[in-house]
Amino acid sequence: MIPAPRHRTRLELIWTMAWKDIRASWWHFLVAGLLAMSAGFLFYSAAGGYSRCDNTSFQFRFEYGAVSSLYGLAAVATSLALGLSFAQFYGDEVRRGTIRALILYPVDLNDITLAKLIAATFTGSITSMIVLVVSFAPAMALCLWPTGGTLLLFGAALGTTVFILWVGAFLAHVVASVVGRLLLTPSTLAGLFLFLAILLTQTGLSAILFLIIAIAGGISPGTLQAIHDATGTVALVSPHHATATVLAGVLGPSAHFPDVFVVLPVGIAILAYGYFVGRRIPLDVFIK
Amino acid sequence: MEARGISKAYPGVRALEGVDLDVREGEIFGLFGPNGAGKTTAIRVLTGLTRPTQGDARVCGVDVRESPREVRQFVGIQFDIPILYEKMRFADYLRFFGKMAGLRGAELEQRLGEVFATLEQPHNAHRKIGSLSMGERQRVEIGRVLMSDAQLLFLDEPFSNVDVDMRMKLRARLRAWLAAGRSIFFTSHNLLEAEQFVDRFAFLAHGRITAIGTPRDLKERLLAPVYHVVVSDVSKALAVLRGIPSHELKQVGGDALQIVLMERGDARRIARALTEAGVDLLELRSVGTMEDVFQQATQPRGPPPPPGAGS
Repeated sequence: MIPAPRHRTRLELIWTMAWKDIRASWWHFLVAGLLAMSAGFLFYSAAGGYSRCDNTSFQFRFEYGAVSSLYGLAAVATSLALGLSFAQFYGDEVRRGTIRALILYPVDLNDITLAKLIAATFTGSITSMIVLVVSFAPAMALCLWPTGGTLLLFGAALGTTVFILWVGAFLAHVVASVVGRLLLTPSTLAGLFLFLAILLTQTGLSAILFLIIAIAGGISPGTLQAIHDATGTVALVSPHHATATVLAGVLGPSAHFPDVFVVLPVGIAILAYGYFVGRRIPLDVFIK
Repeated sequence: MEARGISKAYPGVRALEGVDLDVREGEIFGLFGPNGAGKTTAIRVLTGLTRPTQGDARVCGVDVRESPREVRQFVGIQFDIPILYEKMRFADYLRFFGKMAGLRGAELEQRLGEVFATLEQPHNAHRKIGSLSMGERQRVEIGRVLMSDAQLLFLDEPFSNVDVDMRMKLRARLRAWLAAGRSIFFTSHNLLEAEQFVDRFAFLAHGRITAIGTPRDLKERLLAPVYHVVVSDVSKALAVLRGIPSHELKQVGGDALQIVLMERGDARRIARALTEAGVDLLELRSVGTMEDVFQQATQPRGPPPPPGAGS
């Protein structure tokens, strides 16, 4: 009779793999901290003389434009931090072949993807929040930006980016189960999703279309309205657009919600199906 | 471990075709074959890393098709080309994979100490793997496997780049490791070394098992019965041995003869005849090696091997 191996829970294995990546990325936090302090000092020196904390007549309002610009900054920062971390933790392991050592242990594709996602989410979240919060700390301290609303906005952008990252990673499982090989690695597909989610916001699309039409020399008031209408429809596929629109309603003077919040159920369906098929995909997809 | 009728097809290639294998408790089983024969595919199937197209295999009682992940709770796997975390320190690397194998706390640290002692590498414990030599990297990979509590080890060229002294120590260490009813599945291209280490051999060619057995069985079945005989009086021995049916009998040195017998069973007649004639028999050994067996087992079958083919 063969003795049973020591009990090993999946969570222990997943955390062991995730911690390996997290403990090797301390320098992310160092670089983020130094960059954020530099940005914060610049912000303070520029705005230090304009404190509005004592000026009761000034009432900051999160109009759609303010939400859009601040949210855009937070979306880019969180997407960069999480996307680069995930690419380093997952994409590099696949490219260098070191993932061949991980798959020799009792894990499946879901365990590996989850470990990498946890590590990237942990590292990317801390890094991006250091950058955003420390950079804006002087502005919040000086009451140029309301603290609660700004932190809510950063948190919402981070949550949306995490959602996009995880959906993109698990969509790679779906693709692999269909074509029988790892056509696109989870980090590649997640990176593509993070990029498209910003590009397909109404602001992003409008900027691109405006630029194209301006170069063609055809800008008119009617054209701008047409761009606004068209991009508003297309942007419904962007989780960032949906979140920013909801935030504008929550923080701003008037409630405004997207007509159809399609991305959430579709994303959850991809996550669930990607996890379901991930259990069945043989791990030699990494070594073929 | 037992496998029955395992086949594995990739688009345009049949890597394995109806492979039957058994690895018994306490034995070192060797799978050998030319490049591209299907050895690595066999290991992948048996460790649950890839799904067989046909056939069934059970490792430590677990079905590799039904529960591929669970299979890897019982096995330790080492592939031929180690791809290591270059920026990790040697000790951290082993500690990480010890945790992956389920070791924790004091047990993990104790095993780490034992493995470093076995590999004779405590001085390299805090060096980054990227700065180690090829031989040292190979020891890192062996160390990773030794950090597990596996019942069955799959070792693919484990001793490449390792010096002779360390090879001997590792072979002894692995042999001792078998004592608790464990087993080793071994592949290598070095058959001369394998002959000193492996209990049973299987040969694979074009995805099919062509021969399987102990070295003695395989030599008897596949090689011509060629014997090297060292005696005290060559001319007298020549005269005596002419009485034994043989294909060829010749002197190959000052005190040595080579005889190609008609049947392997006649080998015992050599010793008896020489003793009765008063010739001192100093050495009597079969000439064929497992490399000769490999050639016979893995090359397309033609006419029977000519006398002395195994020498």
